[in-house]
Amino acid sequence: MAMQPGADATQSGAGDPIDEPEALRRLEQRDDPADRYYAAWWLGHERSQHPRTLPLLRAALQELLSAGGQPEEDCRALSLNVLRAMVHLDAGAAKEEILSCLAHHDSHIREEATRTAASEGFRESVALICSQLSADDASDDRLIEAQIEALGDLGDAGAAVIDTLVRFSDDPRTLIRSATLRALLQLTEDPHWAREFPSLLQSSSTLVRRGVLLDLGAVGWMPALDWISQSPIENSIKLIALRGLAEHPRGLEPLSLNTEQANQMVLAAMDQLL
Amino acid sequence: MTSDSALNQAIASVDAARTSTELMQATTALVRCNDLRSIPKLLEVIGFNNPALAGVALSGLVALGPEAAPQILDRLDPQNYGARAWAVRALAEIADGCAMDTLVEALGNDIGPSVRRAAAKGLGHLKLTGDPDEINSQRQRCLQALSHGCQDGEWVVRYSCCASLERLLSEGDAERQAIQCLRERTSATERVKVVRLRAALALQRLNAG
Repeated sequence: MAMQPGADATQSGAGDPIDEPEALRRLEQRDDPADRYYAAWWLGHERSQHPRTLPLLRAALQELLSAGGQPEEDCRALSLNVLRAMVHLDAGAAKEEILSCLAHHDSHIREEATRTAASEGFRESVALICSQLSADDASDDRLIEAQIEALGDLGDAGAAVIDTLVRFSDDPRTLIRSATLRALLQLTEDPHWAREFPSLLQSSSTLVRRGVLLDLGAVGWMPALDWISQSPIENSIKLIALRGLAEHPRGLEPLSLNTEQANQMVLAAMDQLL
Repeated sequence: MTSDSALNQAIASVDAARTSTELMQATTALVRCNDLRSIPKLLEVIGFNNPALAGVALSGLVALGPEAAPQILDRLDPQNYGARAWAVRALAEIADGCAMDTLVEALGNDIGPSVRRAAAKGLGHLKLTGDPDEINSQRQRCLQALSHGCQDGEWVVRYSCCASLERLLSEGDAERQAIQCLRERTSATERVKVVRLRAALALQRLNAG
């Protein structure tokens, strides 16, 4: 899993504290693109449930989709933030727009739309993601990673998905390999796919080690508890990974653990890292 | 306490290190000196943004015990919150009561979530000293700061506050208000599941579910 930019407030937009009505007003106006950009981020960050939030976010995506081949940069940037915001919202009503973005010619838009579709659980996107991954120009690492992670998150363990993923399981790009093993573990819970993780965690690159740790957390792979606790990474990342093990543990059977026992072990490990 | 020459040599080796392996070896040697005069250099090393190295320096600071706390307090780096988080962790593990003001302030106001997380840990572990009234008032201060910290914007800080509230409440009176804070963390108000799990575990262990 690659670290995402713009994940915290300090990077996502400056400005004075605003409230929900102000965020909605800023998103609706058309004069200041920076204000719209910030408002979209804000509404996602605050998990806005206002009835006007989703319609305004959808309208922003519709602007992108009707702009055709060459959207203005402001429009493109806003759409990226809208797609990221929707990850935090119940954006089921925006399914049509999100799925359309999934096929957008801009690879960055496709990447964010892939994450959003996965977080919303849109299984309709599985076939398209598989076909995009099978296309020959699979050279955009971040996009591929997002697509592979989406397949794992969407939970469709059909033969077509598994075949697509297995093709990436010995990819020379470490983070793509890690994402693939993560997805295969999520879909199959077959410990075979976990065997390479200890060596991935010994990577000389801090960035790779962090990504691998977050992948294990995304799976919730309980047999990885000690690998995570002992890896040479800052505690903040270990805690995020262990949160995944506590919240959705997988791989309990070979350890003869029930969920409650697993939880207690994970929470004890987290307490040690505070 | 080591001889001056051994200490000076260890400090010089840290300064002269050119690779991360050399730096790790030199820091390990400096920690082995077990000397209060190594504190400034250990605090410098802790700020290098290398978790494995910082872990070694941290263990060195903690091994120096309560006598190290005042120096660490004096040298908290206002510019580098990564370094501050490690230093506050050292204070949390040393657990000397002299750190209380700093930990309360850090939990309430520090910009770094990892600093607030470590401060919350410390407030649950401080060794409180004095007569019973003094101890009680210090404990109240910790409980108050941790209860307030249960509203932090970062889940990991709220998690740390729950763990520390459990620890504080397991010794001495179970304060109604602090128990209430833990209960709130198990409810739907808390949107992060692992925090709900931790708060529920705390209440279960305190027999206050």
